[in-house]
Amino acid sequence: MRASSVKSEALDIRTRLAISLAVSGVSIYLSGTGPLLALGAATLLYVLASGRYRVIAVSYLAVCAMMAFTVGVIVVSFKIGEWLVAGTAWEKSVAMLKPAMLGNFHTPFLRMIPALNVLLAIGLDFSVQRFVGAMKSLRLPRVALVPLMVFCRFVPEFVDVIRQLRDAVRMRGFSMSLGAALVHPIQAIRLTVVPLTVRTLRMADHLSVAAEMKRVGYAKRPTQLLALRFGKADFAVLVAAAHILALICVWQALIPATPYGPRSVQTQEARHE
Amino acid sequence: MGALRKGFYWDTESLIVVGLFTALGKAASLLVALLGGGMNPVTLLLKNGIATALLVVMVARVRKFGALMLYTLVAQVVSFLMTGGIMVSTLPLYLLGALVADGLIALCGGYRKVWAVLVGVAIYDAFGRLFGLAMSFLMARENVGMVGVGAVIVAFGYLGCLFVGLPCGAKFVKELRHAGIIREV
Repeated sequence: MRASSVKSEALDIRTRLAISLAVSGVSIYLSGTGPLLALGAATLLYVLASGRYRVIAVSYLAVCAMMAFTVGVIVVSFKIGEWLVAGTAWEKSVAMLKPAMLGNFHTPFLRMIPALNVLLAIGLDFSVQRFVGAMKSLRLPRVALVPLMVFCRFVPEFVDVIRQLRDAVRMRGFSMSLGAALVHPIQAIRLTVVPLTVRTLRMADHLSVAAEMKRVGYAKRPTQLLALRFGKADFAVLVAAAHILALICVWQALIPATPYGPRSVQTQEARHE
Repeated sequence: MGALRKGFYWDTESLIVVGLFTALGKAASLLVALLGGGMNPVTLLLKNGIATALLVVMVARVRKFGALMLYTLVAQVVSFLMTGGIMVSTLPLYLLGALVADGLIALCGGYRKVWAVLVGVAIYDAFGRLFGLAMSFLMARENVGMVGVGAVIVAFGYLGCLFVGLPCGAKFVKELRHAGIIREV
């Protein structure tokens, strides 16, 4: 098999959804640094196959910034707490909390990386047509399929509506900013949410009449404009992913976990005994 | 086209309303992000308040038992796409929470009573936040501080739901009924 045929772009969206589901489940189970790093590396290779290096780098930077912000908030809050209880009866209790509060920031971060990678693999090659095709091919019931199709089609529409709304608000001489929302919260809601809600309800009326006329969702088998194919590349990637995930799970089962994980706590207790 | 079937409990209009409001909820989050910048208390209150108000309007418009369950199903599939499958494992719990909220609305007098819808949405939101927090505990179980930060954000968001979303939702439903956009009977 040629390497290019196993590229992320060549894969069926159902394959990517299945990998995303499996990787997310496994990443929750894992708590060891080694297995999490291995899963992160494997999924990074998977997403790098898309060739969108710049987007991937920007996404990683955003996650790092978010993580740094969270860690900063925790550390500053804890230091303020320590300062407030200094010299009181609570000092010992707060000191006991210190390892749990300020230790082991890296494991949750490492757990986020595989989820980010598989999400990028879906997002970088996402098209509404292919996604709707995948949903149809999964034989989802009409109750789930129709709202999902409407969702996929109308998110871009709403983003456009919001842009128009912003321009309209500016034309009327109002400002759409945090300061304006703070000073006049009711006006901010009246100018933004009310037109959006009314427009959505009107849109629902028109759309449902059109859908009824076209008998959308009433056919036993939905019509597919884009037939999806489950190819050799999908099969190869799924088999490889299953093997890698199984190996990483075995590794996790064999190796003691992170300093504050439940397994390592047991290990530390056993050492003390 | 295959054979046509009749007599569905969920008519096409209800399904479209659920899909549109799920899309609107996501787009409204974008609107609030444009309006308020990053993560700050005002943005959190506004974002959660608007989401809850929209949910109240949606339930009052659909007026069918299971409206919250259907919304949950669609929203969870969407969050599967947006968060990479992490939240899917909690889908049964979310559906259970939605079922309880739907049951509560039915017990409180049905979907035509605004206060019953408000109670149901408040309970639904509380369940959703609890399950979300449980999920964040699973993700960051090695560091209590991170779960604590998540809990503070979730609690603050729920305040937005209770004190901004529900009153706004009730007001919207009243006005939309007055305008004839939401039917009363």
